[in-house]
Amino acid sequence: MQSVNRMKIICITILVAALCLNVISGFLLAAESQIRVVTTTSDLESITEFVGGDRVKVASITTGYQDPHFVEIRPSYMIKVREADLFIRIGLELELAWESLIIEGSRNPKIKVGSLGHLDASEGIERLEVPTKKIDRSMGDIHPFGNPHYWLDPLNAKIMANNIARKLGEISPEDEDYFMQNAAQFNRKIDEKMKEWDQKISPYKGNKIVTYHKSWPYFARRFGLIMGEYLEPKPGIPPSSRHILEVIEKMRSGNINVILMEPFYSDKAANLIASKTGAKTVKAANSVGGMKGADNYISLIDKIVEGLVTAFQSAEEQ
Amino acid sequence: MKKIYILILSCFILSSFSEKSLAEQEPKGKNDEIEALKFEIQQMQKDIEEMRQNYETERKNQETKLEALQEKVKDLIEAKSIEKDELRAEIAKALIEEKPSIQPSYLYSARTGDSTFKPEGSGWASDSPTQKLMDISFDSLFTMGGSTARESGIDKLQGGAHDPKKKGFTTQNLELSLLGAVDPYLNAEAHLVFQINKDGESKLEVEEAFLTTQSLPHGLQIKAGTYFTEFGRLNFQHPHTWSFMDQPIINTRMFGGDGLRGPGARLSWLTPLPWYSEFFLGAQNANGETAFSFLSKAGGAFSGHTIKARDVRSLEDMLYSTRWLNSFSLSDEVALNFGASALFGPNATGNDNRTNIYGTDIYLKWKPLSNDRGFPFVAWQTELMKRDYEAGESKDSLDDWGLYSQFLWGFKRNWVWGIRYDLADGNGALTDYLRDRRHRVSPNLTWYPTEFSKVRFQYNYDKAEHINDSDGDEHSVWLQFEFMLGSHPKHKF
Repeated sequence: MQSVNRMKIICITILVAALCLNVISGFLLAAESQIRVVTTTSDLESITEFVGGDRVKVASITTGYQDPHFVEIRPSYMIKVREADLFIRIGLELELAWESLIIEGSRNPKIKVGSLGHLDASEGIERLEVPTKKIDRSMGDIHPFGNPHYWLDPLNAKIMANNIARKLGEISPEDEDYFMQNAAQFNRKIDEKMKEWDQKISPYKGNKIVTYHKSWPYFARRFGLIMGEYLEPKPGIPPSSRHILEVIEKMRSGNINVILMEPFYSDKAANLIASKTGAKTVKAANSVGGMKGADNYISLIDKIVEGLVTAFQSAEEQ
Repeated sequence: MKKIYILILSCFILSSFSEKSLAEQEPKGKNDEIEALKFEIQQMQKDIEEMRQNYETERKNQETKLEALQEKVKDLIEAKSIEKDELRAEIAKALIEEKPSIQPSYLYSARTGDSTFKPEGSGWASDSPTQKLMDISFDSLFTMGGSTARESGIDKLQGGAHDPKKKGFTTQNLELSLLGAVDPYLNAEAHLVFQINKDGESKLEVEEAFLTTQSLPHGLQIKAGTYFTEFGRLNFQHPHTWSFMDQPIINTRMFGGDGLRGPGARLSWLTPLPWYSEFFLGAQNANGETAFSFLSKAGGAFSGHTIKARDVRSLEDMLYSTRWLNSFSLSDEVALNFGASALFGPNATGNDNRTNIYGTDIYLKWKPLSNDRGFPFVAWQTELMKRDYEAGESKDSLDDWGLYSQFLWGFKRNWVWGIRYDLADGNGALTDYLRDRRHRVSPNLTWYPTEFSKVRFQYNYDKAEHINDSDGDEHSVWLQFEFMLGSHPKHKF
């Protein structure tokens, strides 16, 4: 019966350890007064920092270098989420493949979808590319609720800030005014910057650009650019040689000379096309932290605008 | 409002002023006084009238101004919406150019393939609320290939119940998975497996059907139903998620062809430690084909010892499992999982015989943060297991151990190289193909056109004491295909 004894010893050890740990962690957590927020992306993190100020503690699951569609579900993410009071997602199924596993894995009932501690930042956003027909997987990765890259429109960032302020106010009603004031201040800041960005891009309004993935329609709409072609023949399907040829032809005939893409995609196709057409490739992160100098939401848009304008300029000089 | 206040205030001042002047004029005649007073009152009335008129014209002016402004705003809004419409048309045009060649026809399934409930007909717009009932997926695994071994020999080499047992084609695993939320407190999963065995007969297995709690406090979670025991890394993974087309030798020896599973319940606890540290404690039935090293199926044999029928007489006749899983982030790009598992249960080759199985597993993965849809990556996974089995009435101790170690390299988007080494050995009699000394080396190459399909080529080099030919080795090549309909499986780390 040696094994039975061994079994009992293991069980008792685990139970005693459990009790001690729970007591200690309870004390440690009670000492904190800030609202603990975990966001799925670094853009949400940055906007939450603007809105929450020193009354929240924000962490993002992904960094700006990552493709938010494809996130490895590492257990360390569950630890990040375990003690959170609020979980904020971009929504529109961007985080579909990994959000629920992280929330369930964290064992934190406060932040389950539909509870007070869960916010979908896309509430009230005017969505683009919402399919009006039935879609299936032969069409590639189509998001049934519309294109989820809405945070790249600065005016949408204002809505996101308001959503976040409202939710933080629900969680901590005594700080509601503070959050609302911060959101209003963020909105004013965006309005100011918007004039500047608009002015910089205005000479190139109406220009067509090629992008790798369909991640830029909101940005393009806001700044008057036109999405010409995509390097992916269908969303999520890597560029095929036949498709690359078509893109080259269309770029030549349509006088398109700027390719915009995120740094996490392979740049082979873009380089090939650039060498054939003389187009300029702009590698711009679409999230905060994804490139040098883009360390908050406003500097992210600064950097994207700057990169595009430089490319347009040098393409014109050719 | 302000104007009215001023009016009242001025009246008040005027009247007080007139009182003063009245007081000054006291010595003069009363008539004069009355005249003066009348005059003043008239004057006052005049003033008031004038002020009222001023106020009225002012108000009218402002009203017209306001109207003009409103008109202006309206125009602006209209202009903006026209601009918006133009933009919309442009985007729509751009979209038409991008239209895929294959048009969807009748399927409801979206990218995720959720079996969401949507009203029949064309009226469905994706904005309208839908109720998600559950995720459904159907996964099919097929293999074709051959081996230098005879078919009876392949059966011994490929011990997994879903491994190919035959030269030619094999339907490995057709798995119907249903999962979703039961209510706010419970989630549930069911995995039903259809299989066509080597004799061409169709079989249905209820592989798993269990619930997990979703809102217990203190990081606790209960799983109950019939499920794969959480031992090591591979036992509770379904064959289509494996990185090789067959089951490691040591898993077959410890848990039989189908893996260790059965009805039961387990409690897991995610500790509040600063790294990911989770304990599992479970109890399951110890009988049946899927409890191979334990009570198993009466009438069969374990390494020459007859398996008797055995009742459950006390709590000690159940199968108990524990596991401790730890995960460390070594950097943003490297993560390490380390686990230790143990099983305690009875076996039916003798009256009070027991079986203990111990295992340890390690998983190391590198994936750059800036990756192209999950590629490139490098992953190394190893499991080591040991079993103490008391066999027969004399309680002979049968000691078995073994390991597999696999290395995967996702060298470019959708392509993975892999190599696995298997080793297993037991003490005592070595004629038993489930206890002899065996090695296997299996290199493979997998291509994933998307996450929903794969093609895999694998070569197996087997060397075992039970193989009768002069070299004691066999060579096999297999080509595996997978396709998945429906919901995308969420990959656990």
